[in-house]
Amino acid sequence: MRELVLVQPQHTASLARANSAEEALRQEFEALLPESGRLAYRIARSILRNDADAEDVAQEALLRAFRRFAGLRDRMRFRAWLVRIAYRIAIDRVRARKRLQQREAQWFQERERLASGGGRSTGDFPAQLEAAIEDLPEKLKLVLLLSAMEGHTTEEVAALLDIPAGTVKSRLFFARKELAEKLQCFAKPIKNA
Amino acid sequence: MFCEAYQERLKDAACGGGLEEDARAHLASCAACAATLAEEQALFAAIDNGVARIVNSEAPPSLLPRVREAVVRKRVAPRGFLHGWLWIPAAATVALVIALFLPRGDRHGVLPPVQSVQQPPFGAQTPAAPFRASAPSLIQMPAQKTRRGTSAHSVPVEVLVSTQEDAGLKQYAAVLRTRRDLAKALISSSASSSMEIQPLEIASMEWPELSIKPLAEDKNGFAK
Repeated sequence: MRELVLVQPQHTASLARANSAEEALRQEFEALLPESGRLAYRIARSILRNDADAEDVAQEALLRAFRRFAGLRDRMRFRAWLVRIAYRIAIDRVRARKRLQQREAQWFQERERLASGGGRSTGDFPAQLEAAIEDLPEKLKLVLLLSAMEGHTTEEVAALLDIPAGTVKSRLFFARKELAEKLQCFAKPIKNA
Repeated sequence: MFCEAYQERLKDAACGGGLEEDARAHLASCAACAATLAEEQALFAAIDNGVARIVNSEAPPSLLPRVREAVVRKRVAPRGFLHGWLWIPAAATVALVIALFLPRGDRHGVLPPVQSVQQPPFGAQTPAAPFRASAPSLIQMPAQKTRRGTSAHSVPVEVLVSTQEDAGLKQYAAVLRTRRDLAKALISSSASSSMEIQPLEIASMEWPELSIKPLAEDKNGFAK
């Protein structure tokens, strides 16, 4: 049996309409790109702490957002949508990286841990801070990161995450408190520095 | 270290929380608690600065050109209701409608008859696999007049062609686009060799002579 395809001879007008709609959509997305690109990159960078990986994740998040951009009815929600996409991709990548590390280099990590004195070094505050942020629960982590981004007020973070402003404040409070407890050993040296 | 009684409240105060009157009074009288509070506040400031430094990194300049390039390459998913899994019931409905109405329409002569059967001409670009002569290669729907007198060709007409023929037609069109001279020659030759339509000849109908014979009757007078 021969395979048949459906051919529509007079569809140039509809094609032109589709092309113009696509072009309009692309232009709309282009206008959002500079600010959205920075936002996606910052989220990815703060989760992954690696420039190249963050760039890849930001690009993937933006492309994924673009592919579904036409289906987004409320364009005001675009940033919140992008935050969730970028965060989810970055977290997935961190988990995949961890699984890979655990599978392939468990012995190496153990050796490194022993070499560093059986625990985290207490000498490097930025590294310890990054590790402490990584250990935070996801809800607290995202609120902390978004709140620390330039120009984000509590209300904006609440809008981005679709949660009440009071919840943002309490999550931020608990996130900072948890970080402070983990970094308590730096309190005195920081004060004296 | 904070004094036991005020520990939680002073920790919260260091984190940015408010301080009650009695805790404030204690802080004024207790040097150890005041010193610890200052340490805690310095720690929180360091944490805030560190987080801000981590978070507010600038995107590399290569990011946006990369995204723009990828966006240009990718097609946008069309806006419509047939997204996600909805195409499955939609396709099933279309298949059902075709299955129900196509054979019926054919039986009762609803569909217009096949007017012409053409095979796209192939020259040097003839595909390796030959066309089978048994199956029609291209079915053209005749122009029909609607009730309002407009041609049915004002709406898009869809025809079924085989994938081979589709590819062949595209190839043919591509050749004609590149070879303008060939296209002109083809058009002029088709225009010059006008098709001669033979006038219709209607053969006279022969009516045989009718003969009426009376029916034979039985003994009761009924017709046999």
